[in-house]
Amino acid sequence: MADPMPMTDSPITTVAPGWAIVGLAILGVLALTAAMLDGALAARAGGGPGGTMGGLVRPFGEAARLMRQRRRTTVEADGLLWRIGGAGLLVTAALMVTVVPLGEWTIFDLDVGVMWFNAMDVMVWALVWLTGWGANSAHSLVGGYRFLAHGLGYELPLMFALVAPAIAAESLNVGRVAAAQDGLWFAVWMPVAFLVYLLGVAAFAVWGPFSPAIGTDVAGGARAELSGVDRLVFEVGRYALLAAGAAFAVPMFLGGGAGPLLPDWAWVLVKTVALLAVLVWLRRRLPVFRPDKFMEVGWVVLLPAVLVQDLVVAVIAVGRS
Amino acid sequence: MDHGGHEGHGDMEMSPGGIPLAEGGEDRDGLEMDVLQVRFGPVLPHWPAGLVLRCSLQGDVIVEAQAEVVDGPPRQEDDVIGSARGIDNIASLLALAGWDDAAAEARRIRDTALEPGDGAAGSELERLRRSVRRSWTLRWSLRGVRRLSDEDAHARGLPADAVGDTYDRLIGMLDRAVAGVAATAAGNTGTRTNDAGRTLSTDHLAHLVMGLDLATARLVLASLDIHELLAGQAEHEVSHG
Repeated sequence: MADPMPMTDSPITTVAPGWAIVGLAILGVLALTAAMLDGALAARAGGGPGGTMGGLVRPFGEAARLMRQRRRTTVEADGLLWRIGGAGLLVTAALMVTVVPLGEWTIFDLDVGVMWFNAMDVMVWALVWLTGWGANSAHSLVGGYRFLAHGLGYELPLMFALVAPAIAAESLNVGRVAAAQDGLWFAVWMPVAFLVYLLGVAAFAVWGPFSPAIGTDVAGGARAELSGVDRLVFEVGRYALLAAGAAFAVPMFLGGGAGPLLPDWAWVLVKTVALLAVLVWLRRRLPVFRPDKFMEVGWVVLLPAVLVQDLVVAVIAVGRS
Repeated sequence: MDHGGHEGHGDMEMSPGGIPLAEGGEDRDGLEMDVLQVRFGPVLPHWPAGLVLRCSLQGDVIVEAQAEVVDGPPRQEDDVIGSARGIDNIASLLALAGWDDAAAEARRIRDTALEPGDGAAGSELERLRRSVRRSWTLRWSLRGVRRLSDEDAHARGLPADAVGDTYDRLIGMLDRAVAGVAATAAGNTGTRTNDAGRTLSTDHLAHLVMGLDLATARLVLASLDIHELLAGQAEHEVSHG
C-alpha cells in the first residue's frame, strides 16, 4: 500500500465484442450455480424428496415446469411495460458484467466503469416497479411500491459504498481500482463499505432479506402475475443480478485477479463463486427486512456509517499522495 | 384478484376491461391518493381459513376494512390435530415474516407431530423455539407491531395471550405449542374444547388491521392464532341464535 502505483495507461486489455457471448455464458453458469446451491440449501432445510442432492437439480425441474406452463394474462395489463420490466433484469445483469475484468480481459474498459455499474443497478428500480405496475393487479402493484420503499433505504448507502474504493484508487476505471489493491484488499481496510455494498447487491437482486417486493405476504408481489417463460426470465434475472453483483465486488473490494498459483481469470471466478455462495447462504439465515423499518436503518445507520468510511478513506488517500 | 365490491358504479366508460377505476381519497398526509377495493380471502397462502377481509387500500395501507367469516361449523378436534394446527400457525407467521428456513422447519415439525408415536416433535419444537428467540432480526422486525395492552385485549374480546406485540404473541404461540406437544406425548389426550374466553368479533378484527400496511396487517392476523378464535366465534354465534 505504501509504494505508489505505477500509472500505466490501463492495466487491462479490451477484447473483441464477440467475446461478450462468452461473458454472458459465464454469467449464466454463475447464475445457475447460485440457483443450484439455493435449491440444495432449501432441500436441506425443508426435507422433501431427493434430499440435499435432489435440491441441486431443482432449478432444472423448475425451469422445465415454467417453460411448459401457459402464460397467464391479466385484464388490461400493460403488456409492453410488463415485459420490459420482467426481461430487463437479465439485460441489466449482462450490462453490469461488461465492465468486470476477468483477469486482464474486459469487454468495455470504461473510464467511468464504476458509475456504469451504479447506473445499471439504479435501472433495477424502474424494472421491478414496471413488473409490479404492468400486471394491473393489486398484489403486484404493492410489490412495486415496496421495492421503491426499500430502494430509498439502500441506494444511497450503496452509492457511497462504491465511492470508497474509487477514492482510494483515484480512478473510476474498474481495472485500475483492482490494480490499486496491491497486496491489501480494499475489503480489509474498508469493511463498512464492503458490507454495505453486499447489502446493496442483495437488495438490487431482490434477494433474501430484501425480498418483500416479491414476498409471500403479498402473494408474490411484483412477480405475482408472472407465469411461464416470463416468470422464468424474471427469476433468472434475479440470480444473474446476484452473480453480477458478486463478480463486481471482486475488482472493487477483493483484489481482482490477484492470488497465488492460479491464473488471474481463475481467481476472479473463484472469488466470485465464494461471494455468491455467501449471499445465497445469507438468505436462509435471515427473515426479511420490512421496508418501513429498513428505511430508518438505511438513513440513520448505514448512510452515516458509509460516509464516515468514505471520509477515512479520503484522509488516508490524501495522506498517501 | 378481485375487483368486485363496486356494484353501484356501473359506468362502463369509466371501467376499462370491466374494472372500475380507482377513486381518489384523502391520504393520511392530506394529499389525494387512489383507493383500491381489494378482497383478501382464504385463497391466499398463510391466510386464516374462513376469514374474508374487504379492504380499501391506499398504496399498501389498509384505510378501511370489514371482516367476515365463511367457515363452516367448527369441527371437533382432538389434541393431536389441535397442536398440529398451532404449529401450522407458527409456520405461517414465520413464512410471512420472510424466514423461509424456519417456516420449512416448522412445517416439518407439524408433520412429525401428526405422526403417531415417537414424540420427536417435542425436542424439535424446543430447538425451533430457541432459534426463533435467538434471531435478533426477527425480534427487530416484529417488536412493537400492534401492541395490545390488557385493556385493549379485554375491550376487543381477545384472550389474555394476545396481550403484547406480535413478537410476544409469536413466542406465546411457540410456548403453547411446546406445552401442547408435551401434553400429547404424556398421553394426555381427549377432545379439545374451545375455551369460552377465546372468542373474537369480526368488527374488532377489522379494527385491529386498519391503518396498517398490508404486510404488517398480515403479521398481526397470523400472530393472533386466529383459527382457534374463529372456531370459538362460530360456536358463540350458534349458541346465541
